[in-house]
Amino acid sequence: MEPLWRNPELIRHARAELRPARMATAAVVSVLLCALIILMFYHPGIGTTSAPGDRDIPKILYSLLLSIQALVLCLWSLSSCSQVIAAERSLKTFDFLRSTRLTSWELLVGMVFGVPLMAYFAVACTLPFTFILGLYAGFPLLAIAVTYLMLLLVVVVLSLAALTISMMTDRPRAGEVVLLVFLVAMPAWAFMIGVGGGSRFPGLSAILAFVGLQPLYHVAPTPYEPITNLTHVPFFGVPVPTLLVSIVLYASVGAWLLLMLVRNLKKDREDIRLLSRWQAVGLTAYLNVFVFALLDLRPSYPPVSATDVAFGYLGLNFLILYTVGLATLTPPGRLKAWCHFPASSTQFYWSEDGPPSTWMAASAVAAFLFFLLEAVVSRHFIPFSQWPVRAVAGYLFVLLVFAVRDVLFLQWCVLKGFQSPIVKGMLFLFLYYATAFTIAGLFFHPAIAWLTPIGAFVGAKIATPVSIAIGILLQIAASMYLVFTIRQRLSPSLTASAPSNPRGF
Amino acid sequence: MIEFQGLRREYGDLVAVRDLHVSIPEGEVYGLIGPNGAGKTTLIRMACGLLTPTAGRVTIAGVDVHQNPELAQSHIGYLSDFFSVYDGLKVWEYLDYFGRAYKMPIARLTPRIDQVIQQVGLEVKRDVLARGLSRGMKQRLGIARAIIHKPKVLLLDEPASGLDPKARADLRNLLLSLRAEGTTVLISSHILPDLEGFCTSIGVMEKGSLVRSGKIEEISAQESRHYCVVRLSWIGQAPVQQILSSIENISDIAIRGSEGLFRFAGSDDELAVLLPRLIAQGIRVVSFGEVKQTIEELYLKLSRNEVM
Repeated sequence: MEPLWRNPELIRHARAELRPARMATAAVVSVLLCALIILMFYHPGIGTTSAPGDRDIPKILYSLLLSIQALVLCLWSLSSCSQVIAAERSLKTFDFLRSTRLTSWELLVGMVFGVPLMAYFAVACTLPFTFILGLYAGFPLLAIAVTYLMLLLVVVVLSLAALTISMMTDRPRAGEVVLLVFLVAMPAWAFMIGVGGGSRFPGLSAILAFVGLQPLYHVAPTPYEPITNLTHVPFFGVPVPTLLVSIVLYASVGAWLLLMLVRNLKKDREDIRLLSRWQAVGLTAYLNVFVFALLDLRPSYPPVSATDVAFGYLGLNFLILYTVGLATLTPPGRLKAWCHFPASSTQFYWSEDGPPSTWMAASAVAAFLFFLLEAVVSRHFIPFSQWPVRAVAGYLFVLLVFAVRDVLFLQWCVLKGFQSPIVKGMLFLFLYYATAFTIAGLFFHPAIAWLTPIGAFVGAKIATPVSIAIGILLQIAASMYLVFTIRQRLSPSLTASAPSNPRGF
Repeated sequence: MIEFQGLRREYGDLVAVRDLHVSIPEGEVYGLIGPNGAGKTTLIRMACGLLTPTAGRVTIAGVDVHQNPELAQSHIGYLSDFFSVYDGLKVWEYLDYFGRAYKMPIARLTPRIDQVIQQVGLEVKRDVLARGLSRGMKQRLGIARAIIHKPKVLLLDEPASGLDPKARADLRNLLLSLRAEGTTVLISSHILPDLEGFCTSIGVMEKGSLVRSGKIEEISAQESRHYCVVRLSWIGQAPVQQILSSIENISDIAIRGSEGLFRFAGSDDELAVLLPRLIAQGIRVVSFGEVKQTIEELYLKLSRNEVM
């Protein structure tokens, strides 16, 4: 593999972005901004605490500049990477890239570091300021270096996420808003869960990388006790530095995104399938293991019961099953190949080209096995006998049946040739669930278990075992009908056409 | 050199390419003709490895495009109809980028860039940003990109679309020079005069199927087996229309001034005695000869005029 600086894609972006005039402008603007911010703090007229020589000013300035650098890098990378592939597709230049000998990996590396290259350059211009300020403030060089490495890791993962979105959409700006909301809302939500009083997931605070960096700077306890208390979080029940959890979290998420991009980047949009079937089962295992690793079962206030954990686990795996189903939806062309297999054949159920249902079932089995494993491992905190293993198996089956039905419906939408089939399918499902809830709420209570998977989460008073069983039978019938319809849609054209074998060569 | 074996591509219910079997020998310039929506672009995109076939395979220079795309793509140069170039790059940088992307050794790349720039006539624009190029120049740059790595096979999808007559003539000359170098070319177009005198073979594509495929002369000979079109010019006032009408095997007579075209359905021997016969009947013949069919005329004969 060629070194990074000889990557053609990176060289292209470097040539286009870093023309001398642009570089000079970017350097002057960023240096000027830094100088102005520093001057602002050292101006004798601004308050009594900002007198020159105050030991806190370099610390504040360091934090401020670092935050600005992080914000610029994150937003710039997010914005530019979320547009790049879709924009190249619309300009019809992406086909040329795909028809070269560049591998997906080389393209990806070039894009991740090349597309936001100007942001990297602008931040690099201001690095001397932050390093000098940090050292002047008395921070260890190691802490500053680790901070920047962590920032690089976060930016790379964000770029990968943005590229994944861009790869899957035709509209250059479509992913930007989604990612921006995700960037702001998701970490904030996870962080709040992590630092919330008595949280069972203190490790989720590691999603904000700066939390783990605080101990490196020897930050003294502040009124924000919860944050400074999170220097170590339980990981598989053992307290480990939050920074390590952050690294594991970002590196593993980055690895999954990398996998999705490398296997799909050079494919036509229609042929994109984010994960193979086995990889989807692997994703289920990863998510279950990671969430379990972050779960703090040590006795603390409020005490946690095995039933609470089981419900959380069911909710999580319902989302995972949907994710697996969506990530493995089969392109119509591939489904045709699947259609050749007779229903009695093993390939009919386990083909890579078939609908995702069988593999969702495999994912559910993997999830259940991990639940069992977790129950065994956690027996020191909660006795094994208290874990509702049978109930979880039953409810997981209910969730699987509903998830399979919905994903088969989405598969049918893909096959039907709708424009934006997934979005349309989701809208139809939303309408369906809204109607089902209305019927259940106003007219016919058992409909909650007949028509929705909520039966798995509510008590036996609302969803009796009989109504849940009826619901399962209804959904299995619906799923079988969907499989039948999918096969019917696929079969006619295979027999209708004659081969094109013209006269001549 | 290019081989399609049972190639098929479906988009939902639509069969864009239908179980196609074609083999294009080395050095051939194969014109893929057909109406819009016939499946030409889909076929070329599959040949490039940009689109996965629903069934069948494509081999380029003996390499399966979808099994071993990297190796196959080292033999392929591809150009599509409407495209953009990277506006922020200079002409030589653009070519340098693609040379590197095709994994050309750097030592060979620099002289090759200058060679290709000269070949497409962009010498004066070498250090100009691509955004400053006209449409025709961008098309030339596109060709330069497609041939930078000296591919054995050129796949050109409607390369003359949107070009003015001068740019078309330049493109044609450039392709003629590539043909002389022995490059195998698969070129699609629905503007048939663009392919005239340039293609050695043609394939007529309709509704995803190849209606006919082969060398132009062979197809032309086969199609003209039962008749030929004769052009006749004369001087004087002879009743040419009347004379021609009275001769057996002649039909579809079209006379304009002192020139006429007619269809002759007789044998070669009968054609050989036709001229003396016309002279004997008092026509003062200036010229007499069989009209060679253009690709357009051939296409109109072969086409079933079906679109998807």
